[in-house]
Amino acid sequence: MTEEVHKVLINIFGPRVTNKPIDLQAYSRDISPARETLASFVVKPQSTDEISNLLRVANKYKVPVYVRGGGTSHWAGWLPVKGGILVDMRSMNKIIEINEEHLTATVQAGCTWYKLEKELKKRGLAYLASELGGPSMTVGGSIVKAGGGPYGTCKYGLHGYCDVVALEVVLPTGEVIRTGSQAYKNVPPFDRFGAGPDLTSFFIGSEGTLGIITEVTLRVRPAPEKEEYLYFVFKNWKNVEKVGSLICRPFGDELAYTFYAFQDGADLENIHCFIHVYGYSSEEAELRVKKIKEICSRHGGKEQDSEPVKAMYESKWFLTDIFERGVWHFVGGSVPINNLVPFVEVWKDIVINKYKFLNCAFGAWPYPRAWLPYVQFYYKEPDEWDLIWEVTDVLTKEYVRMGMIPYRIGGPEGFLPYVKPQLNGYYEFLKRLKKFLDPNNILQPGILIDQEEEP
Amino acid sequence: MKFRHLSQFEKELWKCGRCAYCVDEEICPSYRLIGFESGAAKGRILIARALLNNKLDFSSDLVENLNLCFMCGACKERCKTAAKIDTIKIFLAMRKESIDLGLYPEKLLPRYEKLKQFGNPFGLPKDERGSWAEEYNLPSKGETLYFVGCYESYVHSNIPEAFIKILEKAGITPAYLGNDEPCCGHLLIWEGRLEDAKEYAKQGIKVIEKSGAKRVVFSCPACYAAFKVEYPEILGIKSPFEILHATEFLANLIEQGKIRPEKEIKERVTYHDPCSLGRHSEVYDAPRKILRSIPGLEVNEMERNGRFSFCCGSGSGAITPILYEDFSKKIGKLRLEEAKNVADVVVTECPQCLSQFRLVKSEYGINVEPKSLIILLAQALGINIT
Ligand SMILES: Cc1cc2nc3c(=O)[nH]c(=O)nc-3n(C[C@H](O)[C@H](O)[C@H](O)COP(=O)(O)OP(=O)(O)OC[C@H]3O[C@@H](n4cnc5c(N)ncnc54)[C@H](O)[C@@H]3O)c2cc1C
Ligand code: SF4
Ligand code: SF4
Repeated sequence: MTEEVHKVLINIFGPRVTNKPIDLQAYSRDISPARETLASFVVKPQSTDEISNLLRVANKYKVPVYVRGGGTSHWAGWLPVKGGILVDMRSMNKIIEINEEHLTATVQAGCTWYKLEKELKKRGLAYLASELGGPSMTVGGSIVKAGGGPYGTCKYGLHGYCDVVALEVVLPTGEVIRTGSQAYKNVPPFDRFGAGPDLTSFFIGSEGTLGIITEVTLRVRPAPEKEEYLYFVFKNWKNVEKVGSLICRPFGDELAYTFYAFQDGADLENIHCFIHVYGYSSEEAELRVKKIKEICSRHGGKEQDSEPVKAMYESKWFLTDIFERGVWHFVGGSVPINNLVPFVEVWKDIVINKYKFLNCAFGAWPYPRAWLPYVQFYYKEPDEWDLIWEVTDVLTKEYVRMGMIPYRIGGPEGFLPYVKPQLNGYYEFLKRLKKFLDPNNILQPGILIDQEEEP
Repeated sequence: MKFRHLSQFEKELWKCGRCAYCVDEEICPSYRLIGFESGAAKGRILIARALLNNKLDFSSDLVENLNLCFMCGACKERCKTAAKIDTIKIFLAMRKESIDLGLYPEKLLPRYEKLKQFGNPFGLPKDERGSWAEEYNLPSKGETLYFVGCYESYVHSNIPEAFIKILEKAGITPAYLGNDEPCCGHLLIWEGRLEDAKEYAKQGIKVIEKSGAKRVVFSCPACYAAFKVEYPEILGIKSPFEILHATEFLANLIEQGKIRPEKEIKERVTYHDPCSLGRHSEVYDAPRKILRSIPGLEVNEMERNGRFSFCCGSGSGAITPILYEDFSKKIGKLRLEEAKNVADVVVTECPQCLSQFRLVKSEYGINVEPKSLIILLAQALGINIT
């Protein structure tokens, strides 16, 4: 059957399908410690139609399909745990339209944020929230995981809060739908609400399990005229928690774009806070800076030279020396805005005191009425593989028990095993939805929604 | 030991955190052509690890994949902010493995044979190497020696002529080895034939030392990169003399006022950084200083320039044009079109890039003129040369 599938794939994709062992090997890892996983085929679609055809074929032959953008995620969210076909979306990288009146940018899902930003910049525009995942992360990849990183998140939240207007999605059975206002014939994607419920949201955070996103319309905005950077050092996390909360308190008009706090595992004295402030005029930026400085000083923050903060944000596409201390693993997720400190304490108890794993950092950034705390581990492969699994297993169990919502769920070597028991009836509901949309469990089996394990 | 060359990089291979900074068709010509991540550094590193772990065979697919890498170094530059992996040394080690395994592409053999027999990759007579210099009476000994290289001796000899005429203006007569000048072996290094290349390196250093030179100036960036970077870093052979590229030497002369480009040249130009001069040898400023010194020029940068300049499609060792001519031209076309967006003349100082651009220009009719920087400077000094 594999031969037959191969023939059909060649019919759809021509030279853009491969089953050469070297090609498959090149797609065997994401950035997490999850072990090597091999697909049987990798395809690089160039159009929605090709994806639609692919999914129909996959249903016919009952071959699993996995999908990825830049592949830079870190929770085993696309690794083909059941084998099958891996869709690499990066050839669908066109910028379809930038509408300066609607303030929207419509792109193919495999377009990178790096590429989009360059085009927006030429028009004096910018997008809202962003992760710091480098030049390969794609718009589609970020959206379906509702990502967010320490850039703009203080004000705009995670992807999907306010920056996604509409989607084009190929459903697991191959039909194509368009959400938001473009659900109506001949209506452009200017509004997130189309007919009935907000089904744009439905796919945000779906981790590729409910459909393959082919087009995304994003909300963009005029680039701010003034950006300022501040750097404060604090001595205790209780104050940092309070400061983050106060900066975000003017809901909808948060004082900063970004507030990013971190502490190195080898320096439990200092908590470094990088703050990125904006304004549509110098006066506005100055006022925000003044207010933020007051808040920080009142809570024991000591101001530092802001150069490192400016340097980090200016080099946001290529953060420096990222693997200097080892390759990465993360444990983290969302908690309410007033519940950060217990997660710091548990990090110290488990990672620092119990395992003496100092080659790590605790970071956190607030977004509207929430924090996203995470522990970033630096480790050496292959020697520290077992150790990293053990430490992060213990930490994840505790964090999930404490009520942390993992930043995304992924597959068996991601957060899935920890999350499933916490979800009660909701997980069954997800399974029913999935069954309805994907009766053959073709798309991303084993990721997020595990159909095999009946209750 | 299995994979004796590659296994030296085992630790380095595990440093890759798979950030995909290097997986970008805007910077990596090989990824652009292959389309799958096996064409980018990240993929090749995962492949290399699998070879060492016995999870993958060294297949003919892999040999093809490796030879489609232009060794342009853009991925290494991207990785400088990530894991600082010397990607191209790893790819070179893989090429060496392919030779050990007898998987050497046959199409490369004629060039190798010619090099062995004639001392140049074109199979042209040894005693014609120095013909271009006959009228200049250059001494064979002296403190400053000019090393010309095969490409410029045989194919682009107007460049050394222009260089000598410029030096005449500054009152400098360099020493020159004439027909005794050996090939630098750069092509062999990038083919992975390091043992052969070592012989060329030793021979080159020996004859230069004999000339009494304290400093050697190269106009060919491949020869320059060979002596300056590849001999010490890849072959473990250090040269006992100062090594300068002609653009560095000339930029100095301009700065010291020893030559004054005064003739206006009204052209819209852009500078293409050759991989061997830019990323491999980190000479970015000197050529631009020269351009800025020429009156009348409008100098525009291409979007991809300096550290992230895009390859001309020839690549280090000029392997891809021999094995995969069409692919090589495709990349050249992209680069020439990029130049066309901002200029009418694409200036560079590499004979391989020049040949490649000329070929691509005539093949696709792209209206942008490839030109040597040294020749442009000579013209700005009122020297009659084309
Ligand atoms: C240096 C570095 C820094 C990072 N910083 C951050 C950070 O600050 N914040 C953060 O959140 N993350 C960060 N990341 C992780 C990562 O870059 C982001 O999560 C990014 O959003 C992933 O984008 P991607 O295109 O690589 O997605 P992928 O890894 O390709 O995919 C992510 C998920 O989306 C699914 N998917 C992808 N494309 C589609 C599609 N078209 N349709 C349906 N499903 C799809 C995949 O199946 C997978 O589940 C960082 C990574 C690196 C390397
Ligand atoms: S940039 Fe370096 S660390 Fe990142 S994927 Fe490429 S080779 Fe690996
Ligand atoms: S050396 Fe150049 S062609 Fe080869 S992988 Fe690196 S960037 Fe691509």
